[in-house]
Amino acid sequence: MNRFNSATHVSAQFDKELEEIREKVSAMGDLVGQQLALVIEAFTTGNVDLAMQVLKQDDTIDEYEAAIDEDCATVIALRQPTGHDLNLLISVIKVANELESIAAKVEGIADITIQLNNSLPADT
Amino acid sequence: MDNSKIAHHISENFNKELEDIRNSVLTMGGLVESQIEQAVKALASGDMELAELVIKQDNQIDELEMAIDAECTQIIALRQPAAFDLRLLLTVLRIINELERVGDLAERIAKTAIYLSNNSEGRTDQYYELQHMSGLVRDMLHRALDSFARMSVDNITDITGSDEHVDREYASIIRQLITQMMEDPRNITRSLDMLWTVRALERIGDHSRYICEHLIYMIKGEDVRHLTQAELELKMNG
Repeated sequence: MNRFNSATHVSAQFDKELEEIREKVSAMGDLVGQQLALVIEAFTTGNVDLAMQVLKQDDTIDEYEAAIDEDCATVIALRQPTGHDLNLLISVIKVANELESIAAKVEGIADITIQLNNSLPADT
Repeated sequence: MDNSKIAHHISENFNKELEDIRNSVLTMGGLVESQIEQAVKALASGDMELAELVIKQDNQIDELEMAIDAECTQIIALRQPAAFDLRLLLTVLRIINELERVGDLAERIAKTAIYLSNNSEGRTDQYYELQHMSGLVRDMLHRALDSFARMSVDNITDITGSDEHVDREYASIIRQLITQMMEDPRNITRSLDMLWTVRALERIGDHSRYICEHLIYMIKGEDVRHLTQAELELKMNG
């Protein structure tokens, strides 16, 4: 049973807020997954342009994290949730942070890809 | 210590709960600082017992993280704090997460110390640089925790600025290691172990910087993650 979808709150608005947060986490997760796939392709094929594109997208992930953090803090402050809802919101903050850490590693791989291919001798 | 930010609640108990959490975070921070110092010392002196001790003590850090985490969640549920108090508690959750990661890196250094003692054949190149870098990152972490204790972000950009020294030191040690690997392939195993270690120290510098960013969120309510040092200085010092 997914607590995000439990729609058991007296306030329909609260349900809607949780649903919006769920959608953002899901979109952030998809983007991080995509970035990881792209950077591995860039590294294994030596595609510097693709690595650059991955680097550019990293800002979007940072923005997702900041937005999710802010949404969660606002909901905690306004709705004063307890029990499951509070645990859920705090877990969301942690999950967004983990996703951001993964994205930072992806960025590291993109940097390495660019460095490695720029240091190759011109005639290879 | 300035208590004006946490000791103003009508409920004496709430004041005490926040004060307890602050003290627990500082205890955890002190332990993490000492873990880094001991791990690097174990590596540089080849003291395997010390390295084993560091690995064993990492459990204490994990336990502290879980205890503080549970305490924060409980206070948010019971006291339903808003504004600064809520930011304080959310920031504590982030800070202990950074500290736990630094703890893991110290453990990693201690483990590397054990491999290194088996395959370094008594070589001590870069130990001086390593200890210097360890001093730099421990100082960053210490000053970040001191800012948390004082609940102040004055001069916080001095601390984040130190990360640039750390990065330069890192780049310089990596260059030396690459040179040694190219000179003689027999150096490769040792050089790689050294590389993991300087990499861990560099990451500790990053986590100290993140703690500073969390503190700015706590005090100012502004999210300053992912700004460059120049942008951060502009924002904080006008």
